[in-house]
Amino acid sequence: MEGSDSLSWLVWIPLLPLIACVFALLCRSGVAASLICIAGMAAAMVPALRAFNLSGELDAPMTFNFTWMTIAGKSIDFGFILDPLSGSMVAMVTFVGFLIFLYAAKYMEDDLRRGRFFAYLSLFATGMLGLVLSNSLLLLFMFWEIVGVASYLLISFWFHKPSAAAAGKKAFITTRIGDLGFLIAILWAFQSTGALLFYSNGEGLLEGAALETLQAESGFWGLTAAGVIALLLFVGAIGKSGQLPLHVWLPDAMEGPTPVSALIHAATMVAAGVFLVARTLPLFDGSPALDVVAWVGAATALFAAFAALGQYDLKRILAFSTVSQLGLMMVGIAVGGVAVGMFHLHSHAFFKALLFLGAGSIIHGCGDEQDIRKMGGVARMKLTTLVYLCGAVSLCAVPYTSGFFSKDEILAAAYHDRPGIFWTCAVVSLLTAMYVTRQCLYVFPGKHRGSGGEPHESPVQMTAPLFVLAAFALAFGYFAVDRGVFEYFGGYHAAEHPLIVVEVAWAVSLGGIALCCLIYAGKPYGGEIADPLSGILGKAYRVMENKFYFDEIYAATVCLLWQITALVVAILDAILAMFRELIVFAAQAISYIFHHFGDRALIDNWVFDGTCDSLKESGELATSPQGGFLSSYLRWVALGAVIFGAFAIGGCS
Amino acid sequence: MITLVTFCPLVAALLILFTPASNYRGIRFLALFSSLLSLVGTLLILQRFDASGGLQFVEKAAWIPRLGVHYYVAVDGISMLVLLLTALLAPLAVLASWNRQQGAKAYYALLCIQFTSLFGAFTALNFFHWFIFWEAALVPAFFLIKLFGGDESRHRAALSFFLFTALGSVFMLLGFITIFLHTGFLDFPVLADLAQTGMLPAELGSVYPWVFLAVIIGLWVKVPLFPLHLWQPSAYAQAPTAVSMILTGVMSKMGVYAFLRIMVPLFPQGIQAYNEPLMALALVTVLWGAFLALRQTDLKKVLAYSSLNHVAYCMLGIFAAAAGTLPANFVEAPVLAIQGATLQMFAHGVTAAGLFYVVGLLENRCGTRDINELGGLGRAMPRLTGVFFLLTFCSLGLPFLAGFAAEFLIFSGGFALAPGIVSCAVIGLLATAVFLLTVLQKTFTGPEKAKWAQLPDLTGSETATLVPLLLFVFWIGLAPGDWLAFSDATSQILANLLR
Repeated sequence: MEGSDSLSWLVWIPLLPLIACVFALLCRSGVAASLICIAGMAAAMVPALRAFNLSGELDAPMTFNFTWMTIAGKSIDFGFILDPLSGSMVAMVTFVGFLIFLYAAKYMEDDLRRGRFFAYLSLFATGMLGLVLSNSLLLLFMFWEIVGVASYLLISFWFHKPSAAAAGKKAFITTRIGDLGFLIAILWAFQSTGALLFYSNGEGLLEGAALETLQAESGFWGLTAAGVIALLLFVGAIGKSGQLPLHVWLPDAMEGPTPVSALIHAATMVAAGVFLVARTLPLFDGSPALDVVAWVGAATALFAAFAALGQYDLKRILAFSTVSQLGLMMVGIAVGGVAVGMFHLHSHAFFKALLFLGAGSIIHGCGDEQDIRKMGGVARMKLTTLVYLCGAVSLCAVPYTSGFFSKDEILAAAYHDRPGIFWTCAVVSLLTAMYVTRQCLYVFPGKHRGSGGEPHESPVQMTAPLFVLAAFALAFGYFAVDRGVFEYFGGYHAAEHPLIVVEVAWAVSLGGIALCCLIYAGKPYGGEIADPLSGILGKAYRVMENKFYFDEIYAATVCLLWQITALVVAILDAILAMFRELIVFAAQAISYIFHHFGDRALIDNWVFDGTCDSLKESGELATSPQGGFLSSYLRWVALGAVIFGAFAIGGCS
Repeated sequence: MITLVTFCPLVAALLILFTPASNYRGIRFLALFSSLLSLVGTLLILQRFDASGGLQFVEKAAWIPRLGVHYYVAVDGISMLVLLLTALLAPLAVLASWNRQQGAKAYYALLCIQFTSLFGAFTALNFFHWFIFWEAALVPAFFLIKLFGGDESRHRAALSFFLFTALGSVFMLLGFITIFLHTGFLDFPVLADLAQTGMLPAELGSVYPWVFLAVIIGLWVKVPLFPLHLWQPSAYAQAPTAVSMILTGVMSKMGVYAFLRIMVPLFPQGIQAYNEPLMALALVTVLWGAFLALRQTDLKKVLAYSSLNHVAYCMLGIFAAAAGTLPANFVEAPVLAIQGATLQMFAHGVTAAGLFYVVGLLENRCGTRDINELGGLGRAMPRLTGVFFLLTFCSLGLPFLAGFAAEFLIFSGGFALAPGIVSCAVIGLLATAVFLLTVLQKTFTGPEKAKWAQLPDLTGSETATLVPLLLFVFWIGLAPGDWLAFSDATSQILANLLR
């Protein structure tokens, strides 16, 4: 594990967007702000690509560590790391991010707060790039939170809409529930090993003695400490990556402007949870925690695929699709290791960013309509349709597209020793092909059903980035496999590809498309007409439409419990406050008595007469009984001091 | 030097009393000038402060030797930071009430007396005059709330504030009289030495638990911790803006500071013996404050309960430093917890003062602090909204801002020693996020309301008041080491006392 100061240039990768963010906030002109941020992202791409190139040649991770603070000789260190995991991520984030920035410059053209928007986007990029480069569990968490805040700000960017404001809050709070798990994992790892760095010349958390300590220490439920920490980290990942049961924020997050959905809620931030598991995989190794990851991922993938099939909002379908695909990535890491999961993460980033940006173009072309029942006839937008279909086939994992290669690998890895997971993933793939096809059938063919005018093509500044992404959505997978993507990530044992895996992969993707076409062909749909699937599935379809009632169930349980707790605390506090009033009342009564009988009769005329003029003045500032109380208090303090003196002198002598 | 810093505002207060009431410009200038002088003095102390040393800038003179009373002031690592916090917030509090004309004379004089009492309470090392400052800080606060406070309920708020804290002090006074009668000393360092050698518990014998209880009740009220927090929300809510800045920024730290200055050195055995109930009450306070804040609609009350919650984290850190057994790979845990508490005092002081200030601005502009009546302010006041968001996120522990560094230290030190309690306290972080984001949602987002459309954004002087605070919010968050270095040596000593 080499440590080297020569890596300090890595700092520029998150720093350049941050500088752009600051300038964009100070900048009065929205155009200038957007240009600054685009330039910042383009500039960050240079060191990012250098990092990517270097990362392929490394035998071991390279790190650059420095001290954040020192307490009692104990230093809390931060660091940046260069290895295939971080190298590939910075390249992808800057590249996809740059394209999305370009797109957003046009998409947000008419928004008065464009400067703010780009500042937030850049802040997000800073957080994301810092997150993937972190060589410290703590630093990773810190950037993780920055990413969360940027996401909050961007989701609720159009905050004059109450729904957007609510969605931002929901996203922040739901992910924060996961973050608590993450935080406790950090605390536990820190107290057991005293280390927070991942790699540090054999003393890091993920290497040597520290890892052995954690694997030897017992946690609870029969797990080792490493296993418990891994599970807690996974709780954080569940929140961020929208896995069951904390996925509820992601569909609502679609309230944000579409470039945000593409950047944050498809390509990068939501993948941070997957990345976290990949980064800390040595803690999961050989522990039942890995089974939890696999099964949560598979269950999420299945659930979200069903839910996607029941949605009518163009972006919500994609949101559930994202949840589903993230589940598959989790499965990939759990069953096949870092390489398999990360490969799917990258190919997903390209095609899902493409689909979201394409959706933005469609929404733009249809006059800000998002309901697919009111679309149809969008095929008139020829360029957008073309690139959108590229993304769609990749998501369906049609053979030889990027999605096919990466998903095939997950299936193959799962087939080997987890048949249950394998068949679940196969069903997910079938459903994926179905919901994508259903969406395309609603949107593209036929007559336009919207109330506005006919769909019109978006300007070239918006479509150009789409073509670049489309090329990657189609060809990235092939080239990546060809160039040895699995060897690049390392730690990968080529899974056999029995014939049945290949057959299933082909069958589910093409079969799903065909099945969906069969269901919808010749039937009326769209507008007010009930979905053809609801005729077949009946009540089950209602459940899918309503996203399996998760929001309603949470509202009736967790949220209610939370509010009841707050209410109970408030009632108890009010009861305590009655004691306060009692004390105040008693004091007033006593002060009244003293004021009239004690002070006047006893003190004024007897002990302190004439010596308390100054105190009287202060009493006159407020002549109510309370004020009287104060002045008498001061007198009693004085009296007390005399008594104290007497005692003290007596005690001494 | 310390004496100069301490009494400079008092001199100004006297001068103000001799200034005609109509000359409010001269009055506020005097107040600002004196507080700036104190700030300069504090910065000079800071510059020459030796972080590795113990008590410095010692001034000691016999006062009433027979009673063990000395004029004895000095700073060490812990007092350095709170002193700096006070010196920093004092001029900002004057600036925050810059436009006050009515009753300016009494107002500024009281404010200056308040500053002197606070400086004194943070530097005194002899119980006698420490206690005078400690009590004296109450009086101006009482009158400032009562005379210049919000609505009609300010009288009750002022009274219950005064009653609770004064009653607490009576207990503490009794405790110290007993200590004096048994030992003959009132100097804190001397008593600390006695405690360390085991003499103090031995001398006190069977009354030790009672003395411990009496002193702790006095501090308990001041911090405050559950269930003696009842005076706090209404006092904070009713106080005028500058006073709530000082109350929440500095006075709420007096209790925590006194724990570090008095309880830990004098009663480490007591803290160890009663560790579990103490921690439990700190935990209850953390959660109590957070959950109560959820249901408030008055912005100042939300912030008051939020203060209750945040200051309780300090206490959690201090108590945790005495808990459990040291983990083999992390023997520094108690120091981290104490350092976290120290930094939290500083970080929360800056953040909460800023938040109260901005709420004051909002109240001036909109005429209400009720979050149900506000709403949609984001459009009309983008800069004010931005600052409020920033301070709010600092308050809910966003990394790279002040609150996170402090809370992380408390949690990391505390978890190593008392994992169960600290894990529960983490729920407080969630509740904080919920109520603070609800405030943001109801106040600043939503459809713009016509009645707010013409309201001005931050003015130049308002920005000038906020910039120093924001600077510290970032500085503490990005490089907490710069500040922790001052208190590192002292915290190690304190942590060792508790083990």
